Amino acid sequence: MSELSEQAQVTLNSVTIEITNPEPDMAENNIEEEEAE
Amino acid sequence: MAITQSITSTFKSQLLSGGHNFAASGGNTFKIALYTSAASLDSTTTTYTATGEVSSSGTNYTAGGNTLTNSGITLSGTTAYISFSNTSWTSASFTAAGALIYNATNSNNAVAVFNFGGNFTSTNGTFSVIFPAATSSTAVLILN
Repeated sequence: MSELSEQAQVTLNSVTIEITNPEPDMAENNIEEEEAE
Repeated sequence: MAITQSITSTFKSQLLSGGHNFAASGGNTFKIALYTSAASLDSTTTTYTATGEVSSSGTNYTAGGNTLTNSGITLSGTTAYISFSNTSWTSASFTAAGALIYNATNSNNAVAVFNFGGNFTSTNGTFSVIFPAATSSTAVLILN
C-alpha cells in the first residue's frame, strides 16, 4: 500500500495599527484688527 | 523580553481536538489583548497573561482587551480561512507593541501572537487594530 501525503499549512497574516489622535487646538489669533479710517 | 509573531503551538494541537470554534454563530468568544514591548509572547504562549499587558490605569484600556467580532469560517476551494472585524479603543492613552488573540470561552487558550513592528502610541485618540482583508490569500488565519 502507498501512503497518501498532502502538505497542509496554517498561515498567520499581520494586522496593522491605525491611530487617530485628536487635532491640537488652533492657536488663538491675537492680531488686533485695524480700525478702518 | 520580546514579542514574536506566531501561531501558538497549543492552538495547533487544540484545533485537532476541537478546542476552538470559529463559527460566527454559536462559536467561541475570542478576545484580543494589547501588550507593551516588555511582554514575552511567542509560539510557546499557552494562555492569556496579564504580564506585560497595557495598563488599565488612566489609559481607557480594560484588562483582557476587546472582544472580537468573528467573521466566521469561509471555505474557498481547498482553502479555509477566518477573520475578525476591526476593533478599536477610543479616548486611548497608551503605547502597545503587540497583541494576543485568545479563546475566552475555553480557558483563555492562546491562538496567535502579533508583533506590530514597533511601539504605537495613542494620546487620547483612537487606537485601532485593522485585520487584513478576509480572502483566501490575505485573511488573518488561513489553512491550506
